[in-house]
Amino acid sequence: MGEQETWGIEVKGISRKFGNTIALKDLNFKIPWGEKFALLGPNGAGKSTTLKLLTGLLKPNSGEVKIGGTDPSTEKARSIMGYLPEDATPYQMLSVRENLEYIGALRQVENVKEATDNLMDFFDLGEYEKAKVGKLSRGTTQKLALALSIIHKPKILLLDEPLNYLDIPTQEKVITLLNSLSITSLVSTHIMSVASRLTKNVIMLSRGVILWEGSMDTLRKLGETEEPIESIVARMMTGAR
Amino acid sequence: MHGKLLKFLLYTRFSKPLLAVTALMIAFCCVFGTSVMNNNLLASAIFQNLGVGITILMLVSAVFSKGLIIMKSDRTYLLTLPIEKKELALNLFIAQIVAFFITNIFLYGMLIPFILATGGISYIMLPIDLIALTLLICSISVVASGLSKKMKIALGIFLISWTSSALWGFPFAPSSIFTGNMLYGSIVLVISAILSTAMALRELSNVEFKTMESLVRATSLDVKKIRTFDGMSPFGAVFFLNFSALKFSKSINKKSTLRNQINSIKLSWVMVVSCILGVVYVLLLPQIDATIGYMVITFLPVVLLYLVCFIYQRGMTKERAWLAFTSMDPMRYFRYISAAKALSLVTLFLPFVIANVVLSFLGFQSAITTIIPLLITIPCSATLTLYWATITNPVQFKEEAPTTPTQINLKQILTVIPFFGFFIIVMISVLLPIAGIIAAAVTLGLTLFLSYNRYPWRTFVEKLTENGYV
Ligand SMILES: Nc1ncnc2c1ncn2[C@@H]1O[C@H](COP(=O)(O)OP(=O)(O)O)[C@@H](O)[C@H]1O
Ligand SMILES: [Mg+2]
Repeated sequence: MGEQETWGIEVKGISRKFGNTIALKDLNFKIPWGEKFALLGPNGAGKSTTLKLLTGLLKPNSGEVKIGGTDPSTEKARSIMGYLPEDATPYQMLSVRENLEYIGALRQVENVKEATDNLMDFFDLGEYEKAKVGKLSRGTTQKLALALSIIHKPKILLLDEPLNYLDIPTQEKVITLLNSLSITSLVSTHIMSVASRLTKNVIMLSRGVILWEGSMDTLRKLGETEEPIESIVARMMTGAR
Repeated sequence: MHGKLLKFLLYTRFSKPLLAVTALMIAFCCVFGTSVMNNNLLASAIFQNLGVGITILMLVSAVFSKGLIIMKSDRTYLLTLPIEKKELALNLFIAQIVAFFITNIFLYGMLIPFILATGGISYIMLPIDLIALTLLICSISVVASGLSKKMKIALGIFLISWTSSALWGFPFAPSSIFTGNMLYGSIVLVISAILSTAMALRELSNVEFKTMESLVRATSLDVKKIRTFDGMSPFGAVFFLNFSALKFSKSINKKSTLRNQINSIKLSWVMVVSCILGVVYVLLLPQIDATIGYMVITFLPVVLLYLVCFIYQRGMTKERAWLAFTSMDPMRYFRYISAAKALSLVTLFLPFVIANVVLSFLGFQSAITTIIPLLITIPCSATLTLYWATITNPVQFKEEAPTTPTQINLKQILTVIPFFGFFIIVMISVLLPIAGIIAAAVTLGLTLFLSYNRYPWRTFVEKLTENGYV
């Protein structure tokens, strides 16, 4: 297997500043095809910035990002990548169905209507089919946004705090769905319990640098017996400050 | 409490720099208007008609608007606060008057020098008249919101006939101030403004007995007719969404060819209006004085350009980067959108193009020189304005904003300024056919260059994301 086939996501020494704020400093990590990773860190750690750099919407000041072996702004990378930003807002003037079908058409999804029907079914969006997105509740908007990010069955999924605003049953449903998909994914969250239910691997970020990287099991073993994983993480993060 | 609420409403609706821009706009209008006037006094005839036309438009849209404008954030934060409904309604009304006053300056701005040129009392009456017009428009929208549909239509017809009577020299109409009857027109305008404002205030003080929603512009929760993008190519989907001259409706079940899928093509209301105006234009023009006719023909493209200016500057602000630009190359996406918008303009102008061809056969030779500006220079200028506003000011509107220009901030308005250059280009194009061909070639070339150049769009996406919009 060539280099290109091994890694779904490659981040090589990226740094990114916003004015005087250093959001990310020389970040390096690789995610093999088919693996699910969590990007864990407190607010302001640089998780959202990392994901934006991975989508190509933002460019690094230095370093390189590869999605499926190519630059994220190539047609090929776009077609295999799905992205859900933090606080995602779909098109406000379009209805729920129109949003899904429009993005389906832009992404050249095979059978747009069927894909839309399935997603509306899964996320219980049927009653909002004709509702303008501007008028939806935050939770319903988040469900639609999730649906929009996976309508083209991406091979690589980048989700920024995907469970925000969702009620508990929907959270469960989304966790089950994400676990059932055999895709490469990177999910950012500041909540340990979410990370541990979604992935086996953790990249811990704090103040723009990787604090720790490894498997969830190893992370557990780092603590004393019976110490909850949250407290291990908290200890590591305060140690970094 | 009263002051605080009003202050809050004004702050959430207007940015301070807007006032500076309004002043700038007045200055521009005065210079532009004066230079037009000095070149040919007959031009004022056109502007008189324009003044009456704008007044009709504003009054009629006030009748059919649904009262007070509120923003989505008001609905979630303000309407849920324990503020007395009466007080809230009154303050919303005042905020709306301020909003419409600024809007009116933008709309009537170019007419100011023509009104002032009539001399005498016009210097005193102009500001009073502008305020009275604003009060009339705002109060009519409140009063009419309580009327039945039939009553609204009756009121609309009455207002149209009364306002347009000024065109035939009737002095006792609110619009007579534009047709040379400054004194009588002002008196009628001020009296009707006072009366309608009193009626509106009475309506607003009864607001507790009604639901707030009935006074507030009811934005519907659902889309009227669902559009389907099933089976469309990316270009098809973008075009379908952004081509505003025609409305396609598509059968959900049929698949196969595009022709099968589109079951009906309907003219959008703007297109209907454009067709009617085109017919009126070709019928009326031979009736009027030949010199005035020449001026009307020449200024039509400029007026059309002026109209698209305000519509186009915010054309891209509803786009969503995380959806559009992760699905498609930004350059390609913007090219599709601007193609759809430019072709919409060409389609909307088509009735006037045909009208001008007819007029040129009727002996109005100048009519033929407007065709290239209408078909190429103006659509390209509009696209360039859109590109320029988008690239220089990467923002995104998070909510479906009500369409008053007052919520646009300083930078957004300043980005439109190069657009005023297009005014001059279009003017010269109409007067000098050779210059017209060169101008068309240059604007078309520039539009194509930007449509096929990745660099500005990459930078735009980067800036947009940096500014915190995704
Ligand atoms: N668009 C931006 N402009 C300025 N600063 C930003 C921007 N985005 C992020 N930052 C800064 O970069 C740091 C990392 O932010 P972010 O990636 O959003 O963190 P997280 O998602 O982990 O909460 C923070 O200090 C934040 O203030
Ligand atoms: Mg974040």
